Amino acid sequence: MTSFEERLIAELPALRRYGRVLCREREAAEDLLQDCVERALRRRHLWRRPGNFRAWLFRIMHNIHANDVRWRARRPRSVALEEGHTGAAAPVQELRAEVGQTLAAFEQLGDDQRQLLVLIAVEGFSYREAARILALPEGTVMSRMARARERLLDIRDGQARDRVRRIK
Amino acid sequence: MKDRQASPIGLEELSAYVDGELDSGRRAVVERHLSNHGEAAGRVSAYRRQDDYLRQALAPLADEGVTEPLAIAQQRRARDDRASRWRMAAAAALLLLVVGAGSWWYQTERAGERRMAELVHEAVTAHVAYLSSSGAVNLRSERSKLAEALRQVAGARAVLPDLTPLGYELTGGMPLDEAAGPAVLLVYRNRSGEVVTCYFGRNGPKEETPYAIKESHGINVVSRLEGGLGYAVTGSVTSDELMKIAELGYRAISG
Repeated sequence: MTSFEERLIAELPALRRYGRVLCREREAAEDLLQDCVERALRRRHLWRRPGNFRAWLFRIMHNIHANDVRWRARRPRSVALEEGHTGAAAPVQELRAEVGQTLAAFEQLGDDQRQLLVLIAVEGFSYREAARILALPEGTVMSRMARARERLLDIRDGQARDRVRRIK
Repeated sequence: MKDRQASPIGLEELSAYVDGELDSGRRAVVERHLSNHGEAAGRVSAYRRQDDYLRQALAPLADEGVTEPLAIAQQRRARDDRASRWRMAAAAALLLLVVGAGSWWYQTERAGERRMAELVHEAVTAHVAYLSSSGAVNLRSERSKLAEALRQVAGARAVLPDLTPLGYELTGGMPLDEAAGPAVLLVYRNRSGEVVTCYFGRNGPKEETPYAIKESHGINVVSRLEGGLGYAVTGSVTSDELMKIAELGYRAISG
């Protein structure tokens, strides 16, 4: 049987990615990941087989981040926005054009939409699981997901029009 | 855009269809609709394409971190870079430490026990970090460096332990900088892929302890302090086998 630790280690890459989407910034994301692992370990007795282990972990991470954001919102901002907003954009230039454009468009979305797209389209969570992770009603997940997809298409349409204009 | 108003099937439903969230009845309705509404079908494939691009775009984010091999070659990298990977590795190792084994050591006042606890922590951290890294290390070229690092930690007479009598080959390792000073992790593997690591670290105060065995969540650690040296052998094998390995390994450094 796979141990709790091995399952946790197996989820680290996906958690790291979700952390990057939440924080938009690498250093903060690694801190979040570490906090998440610690909390998961402290609460391991609260997780019951055959519960959904992945959703449980993602929910922990999401909650830590949400609390951090609330806490930070009450303090004066100490980091310049430009500095903080380096985006999740990794090596854009190495990606295929469409992929790079999608990433650029994704970066323009609001946090709610980005989180949902990652959980459902990238991590493959069901609407029900995503609803649990985000503490939202399932119906909200469904409508928000549709809006996120449309918004992403709209931004990319805009990118395409800009390119056409430049070529002319 | 016309499709948004004209279609009896809403965009929400198309999106949910892409996500496989419709029950079979609605799914059939949507599929019928798609087969004779080109715009809706185009939208569904645009969603799918976009999801696919998004997965490709975000894939690299999952791989930044410890999944990089913790190989010796990387020791040349900037210290900060290594520190952040190690922090991650430490998180992985907390697995074993926060809950299970933690209680006895941080409460103790005795320096020997405290150093023993740190030693076990360092050794298990290194062990888990190595296991959760994907790297196979090209050892042949690095063997001499490992030997040199071991001499710095364990004394001029120390040689790389030969565990072949017990079926384990040296397959990798890395010099480390720990709070207590330089340390070395040596990684051994047997034919069935079982990994055992030998960890050598400094022992600040001249504490001595006999071999101690810690078991935590399927990982065993045998450790001891002697002279200026802390020594720990970690693996998911029985404590008997681990003890044999530890004793054989210790001969290589005691000269």
